[in-house]
Amino acid sequence: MRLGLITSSPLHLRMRRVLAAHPSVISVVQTVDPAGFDLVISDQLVDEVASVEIPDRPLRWLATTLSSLVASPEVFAYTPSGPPLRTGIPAHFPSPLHSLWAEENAGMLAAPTNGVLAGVSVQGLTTVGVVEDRNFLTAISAVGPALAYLGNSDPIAAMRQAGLAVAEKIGRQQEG
Amino acid sequence: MKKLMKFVLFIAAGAGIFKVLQEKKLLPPPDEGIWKPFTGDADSTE
Repeated sequence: MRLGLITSSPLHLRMRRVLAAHPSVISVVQTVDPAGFDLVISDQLVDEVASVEIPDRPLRWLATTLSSLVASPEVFAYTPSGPPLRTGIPAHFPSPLHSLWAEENAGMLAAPTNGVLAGVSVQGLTTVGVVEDRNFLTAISAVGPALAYLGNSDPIAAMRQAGLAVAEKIGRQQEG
Repeated sequence: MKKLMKFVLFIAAGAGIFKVLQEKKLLPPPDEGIWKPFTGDADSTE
């Protein structure tokens, strides 16, 4: 497939790299003209050709999408870029982020962090999370819907195939 | 002079202890449970 990428995201190179690694992709071109491509991945849906929209806020989209792996998801947390909070609601992520203070933001816990890492976690009866390089995590989430389209699979399966490492929290072993 | 040095050291040690205590207070409670690669069959953590 020949893909066209129409985005103003500064992470377009990372997005292109993730897409180009997909086995069904022949080429990925950043463009402003959607004509001539088998699929266009764009900030907004394009009418003329097959297109997939880039999520507006990739990490929040990833949190929502990760919930498909969780039984009765209740708490969604992500780490926007910013100075860490000094108090608030504790949010938990896989190592090496561990625990961070968070605040409620549109139904999710936002736990700002300044480092190169970003995380997302979803807690319910089970808990899953990811911690990756912020640029990679944002880029792979931004093209998550496109990867799902290319692989004709659910977004999490497609992103895992593209290199996203998902962790789950294991509780105490039951005795006996 | 020696007294002044002792006083400065005392203040510096006090400031260091205060900083450590403050940072401890600022940390959120530690995570419970152990994170492992996702397999899809995790035990409940709650």
